[in-house]
Amino acid sequence: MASFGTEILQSVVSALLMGMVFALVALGLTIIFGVMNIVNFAHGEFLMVGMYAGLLFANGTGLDPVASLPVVAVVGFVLGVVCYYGLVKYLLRGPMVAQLFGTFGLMLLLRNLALLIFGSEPRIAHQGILVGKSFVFGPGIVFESTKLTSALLSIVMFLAVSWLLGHTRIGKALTATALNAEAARYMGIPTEKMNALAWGIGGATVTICGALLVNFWPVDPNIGLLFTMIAFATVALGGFGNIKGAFYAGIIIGFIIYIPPLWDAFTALIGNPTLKNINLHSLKYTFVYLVYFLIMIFKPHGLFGIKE
Amino acid sequence: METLRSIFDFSDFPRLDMAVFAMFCLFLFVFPLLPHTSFSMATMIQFLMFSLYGMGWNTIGGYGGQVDLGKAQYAGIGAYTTAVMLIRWNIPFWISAPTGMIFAIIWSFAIGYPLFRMRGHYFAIATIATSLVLLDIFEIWPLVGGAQGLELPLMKMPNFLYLQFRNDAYYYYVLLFLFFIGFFYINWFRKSRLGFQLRAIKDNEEVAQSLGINAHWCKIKAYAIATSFVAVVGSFHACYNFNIEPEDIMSLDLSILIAMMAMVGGAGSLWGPIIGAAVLVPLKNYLGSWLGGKAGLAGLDLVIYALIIMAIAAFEPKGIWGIVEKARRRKRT
Amino acid sequence: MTPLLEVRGLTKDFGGLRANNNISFSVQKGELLGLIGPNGAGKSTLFNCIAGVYQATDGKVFFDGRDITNLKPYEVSRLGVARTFQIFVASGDLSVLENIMVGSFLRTHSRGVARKRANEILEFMELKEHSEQWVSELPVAAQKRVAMATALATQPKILLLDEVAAGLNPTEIDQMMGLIRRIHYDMGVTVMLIEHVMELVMNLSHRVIVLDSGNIIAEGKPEEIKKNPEVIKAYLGERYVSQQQKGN
Repeated sequence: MASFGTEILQSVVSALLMGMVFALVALGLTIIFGVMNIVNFAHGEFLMVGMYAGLLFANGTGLDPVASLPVVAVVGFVLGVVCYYGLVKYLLRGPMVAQLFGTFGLMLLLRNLALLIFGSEPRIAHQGILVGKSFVFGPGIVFESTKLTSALLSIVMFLAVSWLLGHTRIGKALTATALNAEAARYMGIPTEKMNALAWGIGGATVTICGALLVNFWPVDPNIGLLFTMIAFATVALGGFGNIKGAFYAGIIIGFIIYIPPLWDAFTALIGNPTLKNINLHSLKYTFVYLVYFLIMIFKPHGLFGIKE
Repeated sequence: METLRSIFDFSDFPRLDMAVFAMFCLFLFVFPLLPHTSFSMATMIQFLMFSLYGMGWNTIGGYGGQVDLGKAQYAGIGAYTTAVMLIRWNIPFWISAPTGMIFAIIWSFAIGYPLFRMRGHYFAIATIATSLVLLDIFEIWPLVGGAQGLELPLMKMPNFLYLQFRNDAYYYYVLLFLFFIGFFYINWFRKSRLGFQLRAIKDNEEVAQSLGINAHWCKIKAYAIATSFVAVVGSFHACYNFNIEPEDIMSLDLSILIAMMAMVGGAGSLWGPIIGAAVLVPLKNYLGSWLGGKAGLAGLDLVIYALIIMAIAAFEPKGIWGIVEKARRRKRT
Repeated sequence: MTPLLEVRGLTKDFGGLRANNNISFSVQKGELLGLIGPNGAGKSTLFNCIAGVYQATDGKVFFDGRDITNLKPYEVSRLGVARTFQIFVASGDLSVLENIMVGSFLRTHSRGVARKRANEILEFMELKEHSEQWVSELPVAAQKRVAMATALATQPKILLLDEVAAGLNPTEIDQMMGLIRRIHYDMGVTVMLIEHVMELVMNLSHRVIVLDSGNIIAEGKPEEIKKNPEVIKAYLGERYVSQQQKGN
């Protein structure tokens, strides 16, 4: 009996940690949206770039994947800014349909460039101080170091970004642009640069997440879509533009992904393992897509309200 | 009577356009009689398929202004209905295709009703979400063969009832027939009451509402029309390919391609999807075969596609036809 | 006689702001009613509540004896209430004639009939020369006429005009006045108009209602309203502002 309770607890812990990682994935998306009301279809591909970058750096320098974080952050920042000045800037002038299609083309571009450069084989970090290590807590609950570190870093990044937005001059300028771009312009805030900055920060946060993620999640050129959808569901749930909301929403999404193991553990707990459903496992992401759909119908402002 | 006249009425196009189109039609009619390779035949068949896909998408994505990135699910419904009906009950294409269309329409109403509460980006993402959900369901559903998909049994060929032929030319002409039905339908559609109402909604939904237009319902209708086109092509695809699997016929990649035809060619115009398909399908095939031959260049063709999309989105959102119109300074037809 | 439009105790709040407070009035069939008041008085809000764009916080709206308070805009329109918008976002894709046809399509499914009726209105509204042009290419005065024509194409019983004279020069104002008169007399449409251009509203209206800060502060014939001290007070500072507004 106790061991089944442990299974549930284990799932809960894993869900919580993964949730925080999802939140970090979504952070960049919600920042970009908050500042300029454009959604980046290529968001998952940015994550993918971070994953490949982290791997490349580690394999190339022989250093630990964790050490790649600062470099990857820079890569992400540059990627975001380049995408802004190279594409998004022009898209903003056009109709929404064009914006949609533009970032969509970006997604295809990055995805296929990755296919071209790296091939379709999935890759994952094989060595590093985090990889494969875990420690056991209490009655046998396993904390994988990779997930734990990622989750902790997620919390750190959320706090850092919130602080940045609330307490630095640049952050306040960014927030002002988010609230009312025209007013911000009249006040002398260079909105172009703010937009680019938002993309830079958005890019950096998600690539950092990628570099962490690749420690325990294999990367391949097609991985972007899944995470784009997860990020969207998270942002929708938390409220588009709402940073705190994104954090809590990420955790909720984490739990949704863990419904199958939770259900399995639960059926085991109540002593009826026949209720187990293999198909549930194949459908775990399906639940996420459903959540997005349902939230947009019933609570389009998210659970926590838009743009806090 | 008026409907009949409207179907064949192209008076809002300059003579030049109609002349070019007539020549193109001539080419389409005689193509199988000209010397061709099986590769070029396959390309032409794909061109016709994607023209039809695009024409369908255009009703809601172009005239309706709601970018739908989840149309592949309906291709799947069409394809699987035809396949299952053939495998289980020996039902011919000409019955299973309309049936597939009906199922697709029912599904489109079911999700369209909540779907059209959203707009813009949110709507687009939601269409992706619904398509992925259906894909996932099909991958675990035994009736449709799960991830393995289904294989159609071979019948005695040539077979017009079940649409199975050894010679691609037969497929070509059947598809050409469908192509023209679709084309004339769209010509009627764009001038119909629904067509006008959609365009008004696309311009300014609030004003449209004030003119007595129930925007929600109009969009749902257009969505159902788009769905019908896609489902029928899906059914055709099943007969042409002899086997279907979810990753093939219901993937996001297919949804993207469907949307791209009209977007690149000119969304919201009659010629757009056809132009888009005429450019993109040969491009993909010939580029793919030229580059794919060279190892390690898989994906380059899509990179080029992606660059085209980005360029059009950034500089000419009205697509290729939009460029033509600007050059002529004529209004959109 | 049952009034064509009857508003009873209409109240509309936006969060803490009360835009319309307990508004009651009625419009008889065949009337030409003016609605004036300083900026922010709640005039457009009132139109929006009647047309179903906003849900009233309290109160009721009756049209032709029927409670239309909670109906959606397209339902209200189908019953015979047409309106124009202050900001007319010009249609990019449709020509002038096609725009008007959209209105006609409310009452017919046939393209031929819609086209014919739209052409009639096109001529009535003196837009014949512009019929194939894009609306965005037209001068402001013509754009306003297109908006009115499109609304009229729905064959309404009452037409709500929202600042159709804004931005027009004196000649155009005269032309607009003539048009509104013709809509009213020749087409037999009851008209209610929001206006800042006093000359137009005072010369046309049978009756005028004055709104200020969400309340009706006066109601009566134009001559009486002009002399009403409450009205003068409400406008005194505003007179200059509304003059400048003619510029945009």
